[in-house]
Amino acid sequence: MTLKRLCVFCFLIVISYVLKSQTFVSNFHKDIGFTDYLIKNSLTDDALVFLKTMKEQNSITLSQNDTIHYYIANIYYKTGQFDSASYYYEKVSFNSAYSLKSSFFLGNSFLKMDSLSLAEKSLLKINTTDTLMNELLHFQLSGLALLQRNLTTYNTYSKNLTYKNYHLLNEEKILLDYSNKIKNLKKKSPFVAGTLSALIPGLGKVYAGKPRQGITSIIPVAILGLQTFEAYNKAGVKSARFIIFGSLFSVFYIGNIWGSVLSVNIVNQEINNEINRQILFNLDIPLQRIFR
Amino acid sequence: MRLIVRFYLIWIFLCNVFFVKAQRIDVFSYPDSLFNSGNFKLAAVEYERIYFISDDIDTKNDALLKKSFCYKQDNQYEVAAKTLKRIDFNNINDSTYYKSCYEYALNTFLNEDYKETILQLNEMHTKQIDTFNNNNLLVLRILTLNELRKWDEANTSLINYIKTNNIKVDSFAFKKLSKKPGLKNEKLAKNISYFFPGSGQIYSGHWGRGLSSLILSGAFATYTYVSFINGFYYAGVFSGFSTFRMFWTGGANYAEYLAKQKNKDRITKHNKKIKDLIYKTNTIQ
Repeated sequence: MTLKRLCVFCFLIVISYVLKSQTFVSNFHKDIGFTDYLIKNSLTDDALVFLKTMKEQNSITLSQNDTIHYYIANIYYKTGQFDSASYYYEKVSFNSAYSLKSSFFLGNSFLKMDSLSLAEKSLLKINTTDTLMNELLHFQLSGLALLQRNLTTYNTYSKNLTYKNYHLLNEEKILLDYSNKIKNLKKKSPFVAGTLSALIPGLGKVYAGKPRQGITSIIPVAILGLQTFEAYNKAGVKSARFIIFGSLFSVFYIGNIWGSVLSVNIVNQEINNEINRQILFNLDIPLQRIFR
Repeated sequence: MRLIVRFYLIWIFLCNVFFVKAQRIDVFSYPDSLFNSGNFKLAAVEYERIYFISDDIDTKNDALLKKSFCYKQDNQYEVAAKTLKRIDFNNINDSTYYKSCYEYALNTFLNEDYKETILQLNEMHTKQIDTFNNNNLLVLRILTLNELRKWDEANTSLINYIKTNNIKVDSFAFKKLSKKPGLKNEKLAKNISYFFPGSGQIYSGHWGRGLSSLILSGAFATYTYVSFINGFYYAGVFSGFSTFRMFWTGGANYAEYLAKQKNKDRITKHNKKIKDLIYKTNTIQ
């Protein structure tokens, strides 16, 4: 009899523990539901504070910890803090259900931070048999190759793109356009810009594609030139006026040539940056479409 | 045996029931304790959770009001005001309505959005809340009107405040308080500098800056004159006159800026006097 009682007692104890752990699981789901609500209502600061407090609880399991890391990383990614996002995406463990998503977003976070080699490393680690995921991976890698301006690598990766899947079709076409653009891109020469500015001040900047700057930069050179000419005519070569205005004119004239050379480099850089920005934007869209 | 099982089951059931009941009654106890211990960020999240879970409108409104307190303590006045705007003002009890409106006005004031504060105070007045005799609102009204440079209205409110609180102020001190701060005319400072370079700066109380402006403008005007006399027309126009014009207009704009700064200082000083009086006679809760 006493043995039976003992058994019942033990059974009830076990049942109460099971119930307790179940309520904890359901609590976790409730907490995640609340976090979803916070993110949906753009209360991202609150969501971060809440997730970090959830993480500090001792009783959370490994998979729950992964979920929390993935959520925190997503918030940072959404708010453009890619260094923190990559830190938390990296913390999501390999066995987690969020592992694949995290790896893709980790790659993109590195791309946005301009760490191309790290992005390549994390993307190459992805191992998937799913056709859509495989195509997405090759799409990301071909985008990365374009950012590296490596057209041969782009060609190898882009061979695997089908141009049929509606999740990726549009962006794949845009990537192809950009690869052609990069192929046909003609860089402007700093030497030509410098020579043109030496002939007529400001013309180099017009050549670089900044006509307004060209016109405004000719004004001070012309004004100083006129005053130098006047001083030379009326006071002679040895006069203080000629020496002051002449040297000022020379400084402005040489500065203008130097400025034209620099502005060609800046314009080239701007064109490159704009292409990179567009490619990054296009790499992000399918990720948001497939995983959100 | 059955009895024992029944006993355990009843025990578990009752425990659960009472535990859940206790949670319902003290829905605000956990976030309140966080708030009292100074953990405002987490308290804000917990208040938001109550707003999320609760079906009762009064509880939801209270949660938002309390959430705004967290942000106010955390010096995030703009976010606090934004939170208060989420309150459902169509279904609200009177005391929460009054508190929310007052908190909104206070947070916009602290956020230096004085126009919004005065709009809120006026709106409260139209909704039959006495903003002229209630101490908290009256103080807020005086300070806001002073910041908005509406001296006469601020003065009427100040007299009201002194009367309702039976504050004894001797006539000399009161005259000092109700006197408008002597402000410089900003446009005048600019315009007289156009007629006579440097005079605007001197008018704003900056002798050194005025004189240096006069000397620089004068030097370039003289250079222009000398260049023209000697036949250096290009030098006269480009190096002389254009530089003179730069100092001339620049000096006038600078005079206006200095006058503005001076006015700002004087307004701050004037407002400080009134703030000091309010702090000394403070009965605000």
